[in-house]
Amino acid sequence: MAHLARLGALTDELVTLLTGTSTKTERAKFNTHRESALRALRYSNYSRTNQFDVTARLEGLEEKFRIYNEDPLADALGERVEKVSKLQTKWAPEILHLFLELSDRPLVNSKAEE
Amino acid sequence: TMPDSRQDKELMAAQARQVIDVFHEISILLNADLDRQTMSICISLIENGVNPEALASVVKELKKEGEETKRAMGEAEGQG
Repeated sequence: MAHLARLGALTDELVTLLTGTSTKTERAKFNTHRESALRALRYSNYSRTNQFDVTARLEGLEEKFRIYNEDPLADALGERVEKVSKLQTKWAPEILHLFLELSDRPLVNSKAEE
Repeated sequence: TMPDSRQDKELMAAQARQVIDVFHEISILLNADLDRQTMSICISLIENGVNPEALASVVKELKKEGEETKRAMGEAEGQG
């Protein structure tokens, strides 16, 4: 029960941040978003994250950056991924998996910071 | 002796910030389009057992809804 409450509270925050609706502003709309989000999060049919697959996808992306002469991007990504592996965060593969799913044409859009 | 719990807490908070920083940098490099706050909530959801692919599709869907709401509000303002 505590787990469900936590999941609900986090989903509320996510819905408000991304849609701009809340229980105070547009209650009906907010509730619709919240219900469908919560259902999708709780009853998903996706298989579990495969950490080797995540690593391979990140390495592939790094290689792609190099092929297109975006060495600073490749270096920046490689360094960060290395750092994450050193930090030994329990959920790192899942978090990186999320980013990969949300990643939108990084070769065109990403720039390594100075 | 008792461990200095305040110092422990500060150390843990600093480590947590460091982890968030690195993940945020990676999300920027991948152009995942997540601000720090949204990303932190997503990480908490994953830590609560949510599937990353399911979460990604929910994030995309909610963003779309948010953009539509913004557009509708813009149009309403334009009319008024």
